[in-house]
Amino acid sequence: MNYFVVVAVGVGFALPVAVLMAAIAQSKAIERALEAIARQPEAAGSIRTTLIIGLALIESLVLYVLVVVMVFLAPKMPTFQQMMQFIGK
Amino acid sequence: MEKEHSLIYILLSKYFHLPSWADTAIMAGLAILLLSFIVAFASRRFSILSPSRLQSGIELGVSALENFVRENLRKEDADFFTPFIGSLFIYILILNLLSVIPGFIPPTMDLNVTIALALVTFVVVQYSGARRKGILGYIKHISEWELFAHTPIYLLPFCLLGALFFGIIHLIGELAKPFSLAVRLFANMYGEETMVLSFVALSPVFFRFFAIPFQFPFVLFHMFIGFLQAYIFTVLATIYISIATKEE
Repeated sequence: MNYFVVVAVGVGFALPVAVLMAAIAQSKAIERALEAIARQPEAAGSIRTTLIIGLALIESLVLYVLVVVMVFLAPKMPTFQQMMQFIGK
Repeated sequence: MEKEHSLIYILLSKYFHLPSWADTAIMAGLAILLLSFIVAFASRRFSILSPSRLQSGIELGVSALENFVRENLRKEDADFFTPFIGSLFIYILILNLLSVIPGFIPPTMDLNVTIALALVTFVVVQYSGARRKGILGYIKHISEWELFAHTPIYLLPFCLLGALFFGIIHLIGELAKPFSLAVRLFANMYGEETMVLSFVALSPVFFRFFAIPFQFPFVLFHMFIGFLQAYIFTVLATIYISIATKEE
C-alpha cells in the first residue's frame, strides 16, 4: 500500500517539478538572448539559432522525466480494482 | 500500456501474425523507399545546364549540409564525414516527418531505432578520433596524458593512476553521449505523439461526421519539433566528432 502511494506521488509530482525548473531555465535563456539581440541586432541570426538549440536541449530534460514516468513508473501504478481492494471495498 | 500502431500494421495484422517491431520496420522501410524514389527521380533527368526544380532544391539542401559540416570540422575531416552527417540528418528528418501523413507513425517513436542511430554515431565518433590521432594517440587524448608528460620518471606510477582515473571518467562521458542522444530523440517524438493523440481524443465530433480538429496546431508544432530534433541530433554528432578530432 505504502509502495503504491509513493509511486502515485512520484508520478504526480515528477513532471510538474521538472516543468517548473525547465521553465525557469528557459526564461533565463530567453532573457539573455533578448538582451544580446537588443545590444547587437546584427548578430540576431546566430543568437536565435543558438537559442533554439539551447531551448530544445533544456526541453529534452523535461521529456526525459516524461519517459521515466510513462515507461518505467506508470506501469507500476495500481489499477482501479487493486486500489479498491487496498481500501477494503 | 497501449501502444500506438500505424494503419498498415493494423490492416496487415488482421491477416498475418506480426511481431511488435514490424510496425517500426515497415515505416522505416517506407521512408527509405520514399527517399530512394525522390533521389532517383531527381537524378534521372540530371543536367548541369538546365537543372529541374527538384534537382536544384536537392542540390541546395546538400550544399547547405556541406557548408554546415565545413563550418564545424577541419577541411579533410569535413570531406570525409559529410556523407555520414548529411545522410543522418536527411534520414532522421524523413523518419520524423512521416508522422504528418495520416495513418503513419514516426519510427523514431521506437526506442530501438534511436538507440541504433546513436550507436552508429558513437562508433563513428570513436573512429574519427582514432583515425585522426592513431589508436595510441586517441588513448592518450582520452586519458589526458598531456597533464603528466613533464613529470619526473619516479612519479610514473602516480601518473598512470591519474591517467587511469581520467580515462575512466572520459569513458563514462563517452558512453553517456549515445544514451542522451537516443533518449532525447525518442522522448521528443514520443511526447509529441502522445500530445497529438490526447488532443485527437479531446476533439468534439458532431453528428458522427463533423469533427473539429483540435490537434491541428499540435501537428504543426510536431513538424517543427521533428525538424529541430533532426537538426540537434546532427549538430551534436558533428560537435562530438569535432571534440574527438581536436588537437591540443
